[in-house]
Amino acid sequence: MEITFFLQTLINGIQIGFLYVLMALGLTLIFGIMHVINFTHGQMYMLGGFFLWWLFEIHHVNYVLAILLTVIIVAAIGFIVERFLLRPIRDQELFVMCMTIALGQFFEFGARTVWGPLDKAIPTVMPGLIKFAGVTITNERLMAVVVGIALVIGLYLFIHRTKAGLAMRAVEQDPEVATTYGMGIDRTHSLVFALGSLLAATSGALMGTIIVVNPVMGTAPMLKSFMIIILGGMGSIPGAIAGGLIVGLMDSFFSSLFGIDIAYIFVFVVAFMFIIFKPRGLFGRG
Amino acid sequence: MNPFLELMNITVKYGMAEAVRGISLALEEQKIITLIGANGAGKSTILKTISGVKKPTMGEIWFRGERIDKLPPEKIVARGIAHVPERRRIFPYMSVYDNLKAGAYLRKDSEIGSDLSNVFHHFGILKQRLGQMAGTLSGGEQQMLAMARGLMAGPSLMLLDEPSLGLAPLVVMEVTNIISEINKQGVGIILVEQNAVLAFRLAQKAYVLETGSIVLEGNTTELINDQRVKEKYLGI
Repeated sequence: MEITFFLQTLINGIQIGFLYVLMALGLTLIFGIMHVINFTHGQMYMLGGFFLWWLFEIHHVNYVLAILLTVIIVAAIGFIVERFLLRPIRDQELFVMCMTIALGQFFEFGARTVWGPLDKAIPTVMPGLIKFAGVTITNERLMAVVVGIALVIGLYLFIHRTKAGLAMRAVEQDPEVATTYGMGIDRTHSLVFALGSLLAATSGALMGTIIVVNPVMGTAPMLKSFMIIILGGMGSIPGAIAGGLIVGLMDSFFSSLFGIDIAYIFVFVVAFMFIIFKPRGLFGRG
Repeated sequence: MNPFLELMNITVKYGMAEAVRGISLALEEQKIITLIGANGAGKSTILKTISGVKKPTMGEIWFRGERIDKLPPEKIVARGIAHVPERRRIFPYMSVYDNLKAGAYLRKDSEIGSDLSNVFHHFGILKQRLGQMAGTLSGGEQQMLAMARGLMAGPSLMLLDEPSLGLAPLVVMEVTNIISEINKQGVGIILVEQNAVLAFRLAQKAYVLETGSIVLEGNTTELINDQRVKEKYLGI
């Protein structure tokens, strides 16, 4: 393998990997703390793409402001979903999962109804690219990596340095005891679902900027994200980061070498192996 | 006279099964009472009902002149009742320091400093372990941490569920001394114990539970001479 080809593929893999990391972090937080298998996650990603397109392309809102508004809107949708649709059935895990499937279809076909089924392009805000040692990366993709890293650091600080983050960890580890020390489960679940949706929306908005936006754009990244958190360990934050980068690199290398279909299949084959032989994943707790 | 804490005719159910059947008990300020009895007698359920994790299906609980049995757990801990659960249940993947902060979750940051020094006064060992992951502590240290976490809530009443469980005799002695010290600082204590010898040493009053009902109650100085208590719980 030629060295520039290798480096280029590596860079591409890291870039896509960070978008997976954001997506998987949301999914793993929601699973770890709420024990919800969230099949609406892909549609939160999709809504991130659509709201950005709608605000930026249709209403000409400043790009940075449009991204901020987008993630706030989707976080608010997540909050409302948890509060009014998941909380009443919280103890019935199977119903909760079915609810997220129903909601996912609602959002997907809602978006299709409102915005149509066709691809929408978000115009380039930062044209140009960086070349280094024969390797190129567009400014947009570089921005995705920077935002990804910033969000990972921000999330880490939020979880480890704030009271709300302390409550999230306590509720995850022992909800009953957390309650007896005044950490509300309701409040924590609302926060976690909103935060998880925000992460998915950020990933979708950035991916929408790089490629295109359409109503079904979230399905494959969501299913891959499930595999990522199995690989990393369900509920584990380091696991979601490592898993996201690994799957990003697998995507990039295998699709360059064998085509995108094989690359896609390969992720799921790895997931089978982990489910059978290492169900706790790379960073799962015993 | 209004007692500090009073349970009046409390019944608690798990599904159809009654875990606690119409029990009444009272605790005076700064005193220690103990609940003893076999596994499944309903002792832990009573503590959970006081801290609000379980809701009674009948009866009332009064704390410092206020009815609390309908309040959610966060309001109950805010009123000064700290529950130290059975089997410690510290947050294993958090540092010792974060566990202590979790105990003080509802308190203002300005109060935490003085609470911490109070905690280190009782539990010196924790000071050396602040950054350590709580799950890696020894059983005795975990028990200390569980009690320290409770103390961080700034309670006037502590509910201690089997603090001696699974600890080496020497550590049991240490824990016993610490409970006594905490009480001397003015904290009332309800102590659930299988180790009745320890419980009788600490408590002024004891309630004996069998299958969810109080079958015997009285001052520990008198109950210690009761033939049934001697045979069944003290093993004399």
